[in-house]
Amino acid sequence: MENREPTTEVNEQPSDDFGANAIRLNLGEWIIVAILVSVAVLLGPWIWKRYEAYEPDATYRMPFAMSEDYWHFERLAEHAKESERVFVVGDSVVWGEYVLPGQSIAGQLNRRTESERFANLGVAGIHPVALLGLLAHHGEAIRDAQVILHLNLLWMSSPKRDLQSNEEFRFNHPRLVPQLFADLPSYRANASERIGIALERRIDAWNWVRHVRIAYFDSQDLHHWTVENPKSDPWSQITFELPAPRTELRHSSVDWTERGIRVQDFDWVELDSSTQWAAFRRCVDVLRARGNTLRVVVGPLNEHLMTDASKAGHTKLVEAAKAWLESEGLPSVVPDVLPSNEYADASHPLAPGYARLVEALGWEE
Amino acid sequence: MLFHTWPFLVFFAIFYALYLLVRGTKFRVPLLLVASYVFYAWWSPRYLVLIVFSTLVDYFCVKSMSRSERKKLWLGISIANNLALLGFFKYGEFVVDNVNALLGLVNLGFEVVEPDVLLPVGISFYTFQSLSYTIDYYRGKIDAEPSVVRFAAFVALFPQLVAGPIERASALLPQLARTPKITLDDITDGASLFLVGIFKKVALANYLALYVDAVYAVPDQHSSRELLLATFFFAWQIYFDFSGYTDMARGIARTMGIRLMINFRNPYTATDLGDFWKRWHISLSTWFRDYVYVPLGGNRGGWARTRINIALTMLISGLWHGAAWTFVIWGAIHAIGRIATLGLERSEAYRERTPKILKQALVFAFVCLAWIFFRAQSLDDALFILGRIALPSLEDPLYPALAMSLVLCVWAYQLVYESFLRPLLTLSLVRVALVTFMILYLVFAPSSGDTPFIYFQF
Repeated sequence: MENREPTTEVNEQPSDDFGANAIRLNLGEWIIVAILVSVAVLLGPWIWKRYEAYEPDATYRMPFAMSEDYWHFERLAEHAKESERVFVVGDSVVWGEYVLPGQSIAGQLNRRTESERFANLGVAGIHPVALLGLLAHHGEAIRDAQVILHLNLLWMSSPKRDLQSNEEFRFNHPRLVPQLFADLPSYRANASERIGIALERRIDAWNWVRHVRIAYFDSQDLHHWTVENPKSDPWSQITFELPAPRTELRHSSVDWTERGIRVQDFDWVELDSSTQWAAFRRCVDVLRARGNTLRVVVGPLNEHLMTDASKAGHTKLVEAAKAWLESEGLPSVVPDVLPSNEYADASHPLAPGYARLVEALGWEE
Repeated sequence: MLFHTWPFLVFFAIFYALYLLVRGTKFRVPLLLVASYVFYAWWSPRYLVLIVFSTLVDYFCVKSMSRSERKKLWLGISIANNLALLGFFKYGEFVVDNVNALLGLVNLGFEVVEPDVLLPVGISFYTFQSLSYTIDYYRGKIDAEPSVVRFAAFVALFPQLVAGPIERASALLPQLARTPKITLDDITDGASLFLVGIFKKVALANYLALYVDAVYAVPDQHSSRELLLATFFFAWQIYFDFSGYTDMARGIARTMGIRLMINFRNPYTATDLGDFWKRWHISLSTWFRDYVYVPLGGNRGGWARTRINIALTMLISGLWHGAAWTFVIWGAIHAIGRIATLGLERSEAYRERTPKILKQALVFAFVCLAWIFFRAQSLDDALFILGRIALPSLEDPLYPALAMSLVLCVWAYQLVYESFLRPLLTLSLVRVALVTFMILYLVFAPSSGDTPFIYFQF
């Protein structure tokens, strides 16, 4: 070494200090921690189910504010399975966007059959790609049962709704879409979010944590909630009482014309190239693979608000869907288009529309 | 790629498996280098060119020094290159803004165009680390590193690449040169450090940031007490954020059999400002001491010269943190505080007769005062906040009690750790309970946000 100059000597050797705290565990202590954490994570959801009041009546549906609470969906499905009910599965058409719970498909079927056999498993805003994720990861209880599956072709009414658009946009239920190995060009979550969501699906405790946040903390984590509610005590939020489903209508019960909706032109996608249709077909596969007996209800969409060209495109789509269902040997119902004044918008019936739809289903015991 | 995100976990799992496989072979250092470059390129691959350039220049400068009589020239090239990189990428906009402001004052009628560049992550850290190598070689304190790959791995070592600790070549290069022994203790210690670090970042720093960001964004809409609380929270936020990063970096490195220097020693338990700087960002403080303060003459030039050297070092340190006058003022406040209290620190009345807790409170209050300038979005904001805090109101501040409780618990823990009661904290029951609490809290309380570390912007 050369050219030495006198300097203040510094201890440049790597410090052997562990850190400025005593939180240093050996292997045995780490094993104890692992056991304690595993017990808490495994028992937490189990104990929670025993304390949280949950007695759904015949017309129960997921409260709208809990639409993204997939842990609660699992619980709803498990409860329906235990009661040997018929599952009515689909999006907000099944859920009953413009009607009271008793007026939805499941509610009307219960009334018509004078039973409590039909369970409303509709989830607001769930498109087929998300429904596939819901059934695959949270619908294990829907097994060896009768299932009425609703197909809403409105999800194929444009490349954007069909999730084919290259432009990024926020769509419903992003946590349910494929995260790692599927190409959805409009879904741009970063790698961290995707891996986190993929793991969350497999770890019940994280689903349960999301349930607690959605049900008791306005869908926020503890940090955001305490910052936004500085005067409130987070412990007092945990009442073990789920938000009650609303007993009043979410929207006024008026038809689409009164709502100011105009006649529209839809840019239908071809079924063969449709992402949503491919997902719907896989939903059918998943449900059938679980030993369920399926009956598919197609639409009926509101053709009154479609231009002639759109109507023709819609008819073509319905025929193609029907043909596939027949080729698969699946019982299906394609109800006639309802009277114009029985639609609230492009796809949602009003209460009389649901009554007519259920009649078309012709369910007999 | 942030340590507290899933991609890092995947990256590290793959890297670590390979690292264990090639640990005893000649592929270990090349693997480290490739992994470090992948880690860095995750942010912006084009800035990889900068780090490679900086590495090669310093490597060849030292190589040339070892063969040439004109050592000063090669040292000068290395220093000029590193400072030029820093100057252009970090201070270019700041300099142009100030030049334009001056031109505006004299009405010359033209403006210098601002450089349109993003600050490369970690540039302040790796340039300083690389510089220490050339300076130490020039001073004859270390030998030239024969392997360019090993030197590149030293500059870019991924656990500490983007936010330190700023390691010295004499400490890190020998560790890279020998086959590391990885014991079970290294792995359990690494896990312990990593857990504490991720807890500090995700459970504490990110939490406090929610309140601090909201208040500091619009200070005029907040009361005196809220501003005071936000400043108190910021003091802890920046500590948790930065020391959390360091803990994770040290934990990761330790599992690889590499020891990185300790960077924080409970700074808010310091009893004087000199003590504070021995506990806060130690790797940077010692860097400035050895490469700025001592070359300036240190304390060897008499009463006035010592104080001037302290002032210059603190001002440069302030500027290192960010290209804005608020950071320079932050450095200046610390310089003034340090100079003003030099005598006091040595006095018997302060050392022996002033209660320790009072000294700790005074130092903390002073440090918080300086943090206002560090955190405020502008000088005007900082002065406004100071003014409003000075005129206290009676309004009840709205703040998350949970956040306050967590901070106070950590502070209490640190005070106990620094006291004669430390053995209590070393009890197995206490440590297991704390670790279990931290893991469960991380699972249940926060969202897994990708909030970057504060010091990445430096």
